[in-house]
Amino acid sequence: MKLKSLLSCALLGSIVSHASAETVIKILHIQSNSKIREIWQQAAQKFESTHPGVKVQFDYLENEAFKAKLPTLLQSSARPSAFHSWGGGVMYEQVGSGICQDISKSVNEGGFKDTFYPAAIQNFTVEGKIYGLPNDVAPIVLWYNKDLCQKAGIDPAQIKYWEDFVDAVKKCQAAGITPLAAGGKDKWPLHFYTALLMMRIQGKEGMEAAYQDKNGGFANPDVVKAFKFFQDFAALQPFQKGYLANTYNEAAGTFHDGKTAFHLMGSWDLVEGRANAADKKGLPDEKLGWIFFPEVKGGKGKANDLFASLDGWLITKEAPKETIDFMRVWLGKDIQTELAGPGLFIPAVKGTADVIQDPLLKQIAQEIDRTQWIEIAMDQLLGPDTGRVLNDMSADLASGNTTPEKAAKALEASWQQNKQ
Amino acid sequence: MALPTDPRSPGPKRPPVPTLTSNVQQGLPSLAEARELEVMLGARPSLWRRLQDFSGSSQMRACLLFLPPALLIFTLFVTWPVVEAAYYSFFNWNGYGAPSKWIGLENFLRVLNDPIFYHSLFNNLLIVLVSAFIQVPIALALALLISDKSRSSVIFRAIFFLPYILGEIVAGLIWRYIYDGNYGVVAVICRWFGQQAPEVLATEGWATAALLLVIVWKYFGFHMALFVAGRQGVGYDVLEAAKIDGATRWQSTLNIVLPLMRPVIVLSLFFSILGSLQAFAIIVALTDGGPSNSTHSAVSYLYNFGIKRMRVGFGSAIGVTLFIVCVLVMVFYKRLFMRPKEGR
Repeated sequence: MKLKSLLSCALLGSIVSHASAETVIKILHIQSNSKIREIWQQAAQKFESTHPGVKVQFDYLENEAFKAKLPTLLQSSARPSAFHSWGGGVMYEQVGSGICQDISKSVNEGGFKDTFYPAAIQNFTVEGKIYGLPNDVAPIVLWYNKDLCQKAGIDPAQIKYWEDFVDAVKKCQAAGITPLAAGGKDKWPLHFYTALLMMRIQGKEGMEAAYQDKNGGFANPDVVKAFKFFQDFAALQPFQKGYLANTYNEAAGTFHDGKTAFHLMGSWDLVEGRANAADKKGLPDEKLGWIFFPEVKGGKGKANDLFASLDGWLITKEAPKETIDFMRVWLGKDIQTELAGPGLFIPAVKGTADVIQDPLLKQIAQEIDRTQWIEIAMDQLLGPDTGRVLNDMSADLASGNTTPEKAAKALEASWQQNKQ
Repeated sequence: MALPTDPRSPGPKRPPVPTLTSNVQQGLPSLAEARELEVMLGARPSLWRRLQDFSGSSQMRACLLFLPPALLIFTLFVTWPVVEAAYYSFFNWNGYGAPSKWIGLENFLRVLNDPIFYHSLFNNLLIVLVSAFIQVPIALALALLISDKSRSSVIFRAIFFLPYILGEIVAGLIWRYIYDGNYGVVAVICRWFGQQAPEVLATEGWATAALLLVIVWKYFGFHMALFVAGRQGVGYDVLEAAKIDGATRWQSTLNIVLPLMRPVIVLSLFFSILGSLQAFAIIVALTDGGPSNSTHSAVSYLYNFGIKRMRVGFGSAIGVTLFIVCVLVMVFYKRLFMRPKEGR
């Protein structure tokens, strides 16, 4: 008797608690920066106060753990309402498996969609349908150390073409300065070179043709040419000693300790790169500058064609309908302005560039407004497998372990294999 | 009680043997009685009969009690994943949705056509060879030196065993710093001699050598501990007898101790092979397979090219191939070295 009444009590209790349960918006992210998380939390509180019965819950997973757990998590009942995404190939897989929600209609309402940079929205669009919203844009630029450049007799502002850059590298070496830092163990920092050279040589149309397998896909002569440029460049030994065993963090530390003249890296280097310096501060603003990756003579790409990492949020199916309402607040101009001000990142929301206080980051952000074309980091866009093949090939080209022709063929073969 | 007319009945004088079945099936010959008759007639009990015998025994009850949990866990966590992996290996699948793109043996062909896979297996072989010809002899020599119970020996055993206690990731990271060409110990020592420090981990060949050194350093203590135990298991009386017969220490070590320690040495080599087939974390921490995928082991190859790249089908094919390799290696090793009659 006792047990029975206890059971029925428990059952009743669960029904009652279920009935009064709040709608919970669960957001799975990989953001470890406490300042950013604080502002996000404020956005959640602001939203909760105007939407009784709705709760916003941020769940954190470390980057690698996130990648490993996501496929299982998304196919379980514990699926988050929205989750971090780099767009590109992985997103196509997720959308293809039917776990993402087409939010085109709800983000069109009130022109919410148009508050973001079009290129950023494009990154989360598959076959004309929008599945997610962008968070931030991080263009990859060529950072330089003003003191070291002066010492080597280089004026970075005069570096327009690839040849100028090669000359600058030689000048550095003549002056006994290590020209560049790169994290070759991680491999993706090296793919910035091969990808940017491809962009500068082929231009936007050429890149799109390669993705669509026209003119020989990624095995086309322009890609081979880009790989050849990079291999010849690496043969000059422009990178810090032992770069193939260094991670991004170690390489960023090397640059921000003032040991190399240049560093090809994303805008996050201002925050994350500096944190890896021996003194945790890195190069101060007045000693640091940036230029666009140089153009290639005769190439179709422009210097201000941006190559960027573009992160955002994908919405899952069965996510509460309040999720988009929350995004209007969270990814709205007010909150994003707050995030942009201290230079935590460059939001994908139009008009936030002007409030960025850090002058270097502000210049980069303003270029996003001006550019005609943002190319997404290729190791993301190509998907988890082919992306890594490109990274591998970049490292192998640098170490002389493959030829440009073989590398291009390997890339195209993997691209074909994964498109089946 | 059996009927007196039953020709098979051995007679009413025999007291019935109480068994589970005879209590239930009153009137029929009990299992035990039937069994006895069979023995009398000289008939070999059939499998079915033996099973029936077994079903009533206390052994059966013990099996019923203890076998299901073990069997369930083994099936759930060992057999089932292996079967599942074998199934996935026939698909081109990235882990999303249900596997649907059946590609037959394509994944296996890709594995078998990948030079990096063979290079990884070669690295596994290198680990075994280095372990057999460098690590095990060092561990054996040390064990023979410090297997007595003196205080200094105990201290040295603790010191030599220390690297084994360290986590693999920790060991890998420590050695990354040691090998670093800018501020590592190797670089500092090179500079003492006015030499430019080599970039050990960034150079192919050197990186493999560096990895092997770390593996020897990390695991020789484990083998040493095995040998110390094996050496202490050699009876004192045998050694004393040899001493009385006038054998020198060198002679008794070579002709008595080592032959008696053979089972331990065989076991130690077995662990080397096992360790090589499992080598993973230390590689990830030290080189992550680089430079140019030259330092992968079979498992780190699987992780990098299967799991990290979201190629579940391909990864499963690597896993299945590796499983077959493991089974073959173990079967041959057991056949060759671990025959019971060759033991003590």
